[in-house]
Amino acid sequence: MPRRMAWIRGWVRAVWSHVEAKIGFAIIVVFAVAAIAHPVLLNTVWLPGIYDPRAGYDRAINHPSSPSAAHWLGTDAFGKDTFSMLLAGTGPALVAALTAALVTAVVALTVAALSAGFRTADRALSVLVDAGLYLPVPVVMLIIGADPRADRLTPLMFGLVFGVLTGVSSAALVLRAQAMPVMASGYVDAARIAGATTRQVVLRHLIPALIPIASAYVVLAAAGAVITQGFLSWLSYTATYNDWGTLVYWAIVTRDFTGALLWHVILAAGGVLTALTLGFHLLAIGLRRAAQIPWNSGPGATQDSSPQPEMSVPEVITV
Amino acid sequence: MLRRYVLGRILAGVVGILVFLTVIFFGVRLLVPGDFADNFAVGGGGVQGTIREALGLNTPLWQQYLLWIGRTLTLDLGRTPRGPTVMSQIVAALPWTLTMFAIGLGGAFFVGVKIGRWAGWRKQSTSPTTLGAATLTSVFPPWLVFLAFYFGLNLLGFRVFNDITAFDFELWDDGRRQFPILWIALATVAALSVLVFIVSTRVSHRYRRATRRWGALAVALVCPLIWTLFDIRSHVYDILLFLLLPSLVLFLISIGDIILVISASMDGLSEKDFALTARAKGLTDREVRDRHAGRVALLPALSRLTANLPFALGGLVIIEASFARLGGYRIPIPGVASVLFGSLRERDLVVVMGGLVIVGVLTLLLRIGLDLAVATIDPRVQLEKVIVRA
Repeated sequence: MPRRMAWIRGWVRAVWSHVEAKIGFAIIVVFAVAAIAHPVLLNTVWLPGIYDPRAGYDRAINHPSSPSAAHWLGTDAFGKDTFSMLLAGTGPALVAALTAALVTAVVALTVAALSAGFRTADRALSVLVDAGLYLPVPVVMLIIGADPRADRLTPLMFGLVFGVLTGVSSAALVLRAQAMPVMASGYVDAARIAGATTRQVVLRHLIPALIPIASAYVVLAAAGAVITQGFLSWLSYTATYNDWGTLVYWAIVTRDFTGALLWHVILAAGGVLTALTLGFHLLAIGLRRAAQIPWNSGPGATQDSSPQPEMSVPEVITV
Repeated sequence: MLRRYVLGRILAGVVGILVFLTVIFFGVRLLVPGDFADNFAVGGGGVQGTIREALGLNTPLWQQYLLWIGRTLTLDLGRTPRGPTVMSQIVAALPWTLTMFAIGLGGAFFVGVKIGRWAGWRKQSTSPTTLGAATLTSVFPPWLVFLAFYFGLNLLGFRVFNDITAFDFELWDDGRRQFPILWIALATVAALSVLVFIVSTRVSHRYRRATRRWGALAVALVCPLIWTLFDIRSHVYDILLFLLLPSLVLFLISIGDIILVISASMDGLSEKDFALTARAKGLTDREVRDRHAGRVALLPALSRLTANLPFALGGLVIIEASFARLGGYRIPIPGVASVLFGSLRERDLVVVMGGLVIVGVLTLLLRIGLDLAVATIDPRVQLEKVIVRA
């Protein structure tokens, strides 16, 4: 690793020293493995005619059925395997969450860097960020999803829109507040005296200094994306067929002809949705602790009394 | 200093709202294609053209934008195809949202601050459990919590939420009774609470806590009497019962974060000099915790609440929409979010934009209120902001 990037190793080590980050990361890895395993299982172990998440039907038993050896989490009213449907829903959830995280990071870091580096841009951007805070993200997602041509809300598109909205509002607010002290710090002054341009200061000092803090908020945005995507799919407003929210919806609706709620489906889908959210949440706690940000300096803290995080300062400062 | 701070805050809010309105106007047009004529007019292009001309939809977009901004600033949000004005619909729905918000978020803040203070004061053996539970509640998806409560309570035999059809609520009827009922109920509680607060600030410091406690009890006793005078008491109870579930869900999804923030802020305060001084003066541990350290810890929680308001409102939308979904869209909670949601399903853009404006203005007002609360508690905030703006 080049000397300039050496701080990344230190940061990763600091994050890994927190047990919350380890558990959160492990949960996310389990889900990622599940998402990859599903097509593999369908092509090897599982018979597509029985375990296909869209059209599978096991003629050997009555449906809906409780958990059994053949169907670990039972089947729904249409005879589809619950476990297979859950695995099929993992991919869309992860794609939406990771896209949202990535886009939030890019947008929020850009806004924060422009605000801190250029005073003229700061005035315009602060008004934009302020206006963005008046708009609840789930409401905007609802407006997009409610369109009869809702097929456009694919996991990728969902993550993109969610990321832009979060990045330009709450995440930008926090990062902008954190960027200002960095720009006023001694090592940035030293870099300027050594002849660094604003662009160099922003790219080589500000953004590396913001990444540890940004990562915590970005991971929280991923958790928010999982929750919102579940909600939209429960309203049938997403393009994919096997989202976890959709499973809950059908488990409730089919009680009209099955005579009872399919609790095993509701609990399984609700459980995995909550578990993935918890995974992102725990990882965010670990990242926050590694960046030495207390909970009280979260979004909207009007005054941040926390010390400038040590880890946020690159170990090697070059102009 | 405070006046200058307030003026600056309001001015910044107005500029923010203007940008917000612009984003809404162009955003909704971008996200929801088609206009009123596309969505509602039947009879071919000729009829659509006539309707567009009558409604001014054939004028250039910038003219429509200026007209809409001008009307919105004069509180004219337009009219729906059904007849009633958008404003009348939203004014009718607003008390429902405010009541849920007050019970859910207000209650969560009140209880969360108390639990957070207790959990964060000393490293007690029960604290990790409390904080772990708080972390868990903050990751539960609101719509799942709603479903869990709904079906859980019904399994236990509480059928209150299935009896909602027994209410004679009619969302779109301007003359309906519950509209003044809820406003009267809210106004009674708000007026009496403010009265108690003012009285408590006038009495000696020694009796302040007792005045507030007895005052709260008096409000709880006097309000039903006033409602009886207006002959609305049973209706208010029905409405509160109706709102219990959504408020409870909002309470549950909000309280975890508040507990975490407060307990983290309380960390280490018991060893601070001001806490030692207070103890040396003879105050009990509880008094030091609540009166001295508790206030210090309140500031970040208020700041956090300010920034989280859009998320709380978003949570409310989720809860209201989940309720509507559960009832097959037949029986919505008639709050602002449901007006918005119902209009979205019917492609009624005028109401959608009106609903968004109200959500934004509501957020702005609440944020200004919370900012003022923070500035009142901590004068350094006023000073800092004024200096920054100067």
